[in-house]
Amino acid sequence: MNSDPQIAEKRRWRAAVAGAVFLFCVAMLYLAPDHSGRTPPGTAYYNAAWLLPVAALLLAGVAALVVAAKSLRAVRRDRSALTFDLRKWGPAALAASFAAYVQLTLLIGYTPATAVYILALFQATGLRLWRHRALAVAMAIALQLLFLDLLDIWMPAPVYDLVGMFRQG
Amino acid sequence: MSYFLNGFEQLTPLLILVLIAGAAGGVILGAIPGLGPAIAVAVLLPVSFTMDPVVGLSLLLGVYSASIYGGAVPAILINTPGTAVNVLTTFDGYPMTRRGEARRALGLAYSASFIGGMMSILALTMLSQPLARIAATFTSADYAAAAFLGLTLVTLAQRGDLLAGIMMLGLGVFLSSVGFEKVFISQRFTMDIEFLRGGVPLVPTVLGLFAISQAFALIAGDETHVAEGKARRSTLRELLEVFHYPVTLFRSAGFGVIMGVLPGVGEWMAQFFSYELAKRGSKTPEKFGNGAPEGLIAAEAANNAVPASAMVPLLSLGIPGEALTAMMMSVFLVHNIIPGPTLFESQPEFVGALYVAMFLVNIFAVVFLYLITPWLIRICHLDQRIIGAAIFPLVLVGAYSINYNIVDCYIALTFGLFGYAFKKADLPVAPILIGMILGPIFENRFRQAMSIADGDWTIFVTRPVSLGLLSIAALILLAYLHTSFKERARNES
Repeated sequence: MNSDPQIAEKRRWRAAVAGAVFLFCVAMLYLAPDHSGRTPPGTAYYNAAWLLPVAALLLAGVAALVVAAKSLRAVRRDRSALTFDLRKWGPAALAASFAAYVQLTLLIGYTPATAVYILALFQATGLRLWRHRALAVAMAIALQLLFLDLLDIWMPAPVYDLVGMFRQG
Repeated sequence: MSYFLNGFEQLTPLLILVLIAGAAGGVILGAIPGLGPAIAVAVLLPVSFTMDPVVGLSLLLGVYSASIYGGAVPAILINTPGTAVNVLTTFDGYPMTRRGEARRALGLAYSASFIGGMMSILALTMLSQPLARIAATFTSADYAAAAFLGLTLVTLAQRGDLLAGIMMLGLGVFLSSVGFEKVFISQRFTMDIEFLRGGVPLVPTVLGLFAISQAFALIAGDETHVAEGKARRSTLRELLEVFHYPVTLFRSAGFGVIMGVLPGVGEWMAQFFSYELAKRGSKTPEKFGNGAPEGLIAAEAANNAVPASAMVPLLSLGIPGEALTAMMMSVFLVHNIIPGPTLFESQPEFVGALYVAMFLVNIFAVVFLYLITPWLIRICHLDQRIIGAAIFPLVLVGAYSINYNIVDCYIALTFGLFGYAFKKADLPVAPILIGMILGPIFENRFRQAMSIADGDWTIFVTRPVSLGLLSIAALILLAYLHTSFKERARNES
């Protein structure tokens, strides 16, 4: 029995992820008859549109089932070491914040949105000195100069073009 | 070789300036996670159309080659490959950084990359026409066998975690099949969602699985790494250490050259072939993935040997081998230059100038990298939260600028969450990408080969090339199973 909390956490994640992959594969295989492409009657088996995706799903599904089963068995053995610490919601919050950042870009433009987003990230993660705030603004301006001005990358036109308004004075 | 020597006569101050700018820009863009050569070249493509063809192509080649050099830096320092082809560099480069050997790892990477690049150019200039002739004889069965060997090697590379490797590879191959399939032009697993009709886009997937997931880990505080106390350039001894591993170095560079010549194969298979062979040939294979210098050398020498050799099929046959050379072909066409066998006769000065441009770019890139190492190495000293926060705006631009579609940003975000979960579960993500790249190659070539042979499987064993490749796959598989059974028997006893 291994009671290392880190290993126990890894196994718990592994069981969950492999289980999810298995369920995904089963769902896709269930949907395969209607969604794996058109294969006209009389087509040779090697030209069938379903051959590759179905083979890949079977391969991934069987492997995922075994990985999940193995990890789950280990998780049960290590149950005593699990802390069930649910405080670490960092990635979920970050993912939501990134989605909000994309929407903010559509609203006020890339550079102001980037400045606001990095400032907010710094604030939320404890980087609250003035030099951190200055760095956030400097990063946004540097990215504007590099990508939008120098490399001329097109970004979506914002609803409120703050940079344009600023440039027009 | 005469083309190469004549190419020096084509050098102009503008061309040299463009090469320096391309090398410097490529290194910096390559070092920024998520901004690899594909994005950089795609962004610069319209700019290059306005230039003289030699100058425009030199700029793109400079960015392409140098970005792979630069991509090794974040792979080694912050465990995020700057470009997708630097994935394997993270395996051994980052553990070396954690051990406080960042400078040594960078020195090895620079030298291996330089040797790989130079060998590639040497091969290109001396062997381009004969090599192109050989590659031109490859049939669909040979390509299918090569892709199958690649898929086998990728799976077996996850030593001790074979099932996880199979699972991830299967997922990758499945993802590659989403979208329109080419034979009957029908939709596969698009679920009537419009943006899936074009398939699961590779670049946002790469950005999500590697860059966003790494940003999550950096900001959430999951990642801790030890940086070197002093930010100094690699010493000459560290740069020359690569020659302590001559077999790994030259074999990997050689593989890179061969794989670069084969259309559609490229850096991915080159580095995986080389890495796996270096591991099998090593006296300490258990150190691979934990900071083995040989692993780092194999990955870097192989992937830097590809850019110049990838130009062989384009220049000699007019066939772009992969996305980047396909972009470059558009520069040829805009300037009404037809790549192919006649190019060597009709425009020898153009071919020579390209050879020289590639040669000089390698020198400029490694010199520039060496000079800015103290600044690049400072990335290690930056607060992880700052690096993590900086990744998001870069990913937003990188994901959006491929198709100018905001949906790609959300795809990258989704894969970022998947990548984070895979990271927490200690599941390898590289097989997903390999599956996404090799899956379509295998499917298309397999279908072609079987159709040509009218369903006769023996086509794969009657061709010497495909037979050889499949035999290698079978031998490696048998060797793996033999080792596994022996290990299990030893553990049980």
